[in-house]
Amino acid sequence: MELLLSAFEQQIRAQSRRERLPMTCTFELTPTCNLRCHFCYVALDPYKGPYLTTQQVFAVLDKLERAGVLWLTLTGGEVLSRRDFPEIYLYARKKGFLVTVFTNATMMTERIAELFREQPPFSVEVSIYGADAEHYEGVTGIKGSFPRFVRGIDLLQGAGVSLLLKHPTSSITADHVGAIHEWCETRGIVHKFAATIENRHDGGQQPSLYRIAPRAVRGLKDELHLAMTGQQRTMPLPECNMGGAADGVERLYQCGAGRVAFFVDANGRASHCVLDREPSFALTEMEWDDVWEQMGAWVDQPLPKEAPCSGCSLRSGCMNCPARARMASGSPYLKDTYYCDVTHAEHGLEPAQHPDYRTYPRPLGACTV
Amino acid sequence: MARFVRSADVVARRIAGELVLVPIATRTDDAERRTANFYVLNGTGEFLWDRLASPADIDALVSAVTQHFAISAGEALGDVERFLAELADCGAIDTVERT
Repeated sequence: MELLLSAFEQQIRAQSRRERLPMTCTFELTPTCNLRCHFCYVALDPYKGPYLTTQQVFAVLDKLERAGVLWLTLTGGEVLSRRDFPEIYLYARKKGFLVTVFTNATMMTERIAELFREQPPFSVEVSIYGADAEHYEGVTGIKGSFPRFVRGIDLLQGAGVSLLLKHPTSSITADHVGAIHEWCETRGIVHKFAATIENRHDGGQQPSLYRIAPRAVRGLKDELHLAMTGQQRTMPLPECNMGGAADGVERLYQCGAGRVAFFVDANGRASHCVLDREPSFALTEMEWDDVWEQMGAWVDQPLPKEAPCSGCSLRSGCMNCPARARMASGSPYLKDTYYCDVTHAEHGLEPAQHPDYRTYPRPLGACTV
Repeated sequence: MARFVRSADVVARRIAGELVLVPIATRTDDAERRTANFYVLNGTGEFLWDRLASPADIDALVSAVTQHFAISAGEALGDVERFLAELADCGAIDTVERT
């Protein structure tokens, strides 16, 4: 008789990818937020309440548990703007999810910090928009939000949580990343940078106004890599080694969306991706197996041969994806030319020539022109 | 003799066909990759885990194992002791003293 009791994370991650098992869910408890970041991807206009009640959230969590989800992220909006956050958090934890909380930390209280100290989350991730009030509040648009952020970080560190700070680098803070790195280092907090800004999930283009130029993205990544590791960044880049599909078919989706990961919004609608929310399914009304089957059919579709990215040798390492394409052009089959240009710049290539994909005709385009 | 029972600090989840023990107080050691430490039980482990739903002493667990599996009492005792020690290490069981 052998009594096996061993860590098996690697095994389960590989198995879930191979067998298409839902391991990871991002659950947006509310889209509302106390900050007004200029480039937030969350669109409130088409996404009105009433949002899920506490009991409805519990029912969704019950369904996620039965589906076999292990890694659960609670996000917003700002999750702490929900008064029932402690109840939801404790319920999720008792269900046996590994609960990560995304927050901006500005609404952290002694009570929540005590809750996290007594009942620790798996991890907490916080966006850092600047290392001083000028930059931070220049992004958030809310005067006084920087000291509240600092207090929140103090509370989280005092509670001993596993903490990650994330900085979305925009044109507002492109010259400020060194100060942010230093701020995190001084406090001994693990941190990372995203060099690109997403459009709004409803296709709103305002966030793109705050993107840094594609060629500057490469320079910024080089600078950050040097600051974080003390070493020059070299090719090939890690993100260029994602590999293609095992069966040789070029799929529309190359990531884990709808394969090992999915998203649930504050109305209880499930979709394959936090950014790309169509098709979506009413998780509160449908059986999980039906949701997962239909989601799978969507993400497993091949990339049309006529699609502009079909056959591109850079595609497997390109940050353009159906979600970003849809947000920029209205169609998942086209592209967000910004990411195409970023990828070309990463490889030292001239940018490709792009038609206006927002007016691209059907069947690939969303436009009827 | 001490008895053992499942800890409320661990949740058993059926994940990808396996019975996984998830310590609910677990924190990731790698905030960026969100790696986790949790445990999977094989068939025999599951058998014993079922019996730990209510307090049980080693003799009772060994007896249950020898009745259910083709194994000697001596072998079963070693396995059960090792299993309980591993469960204790990951905080999955509590010890209940007889009153």
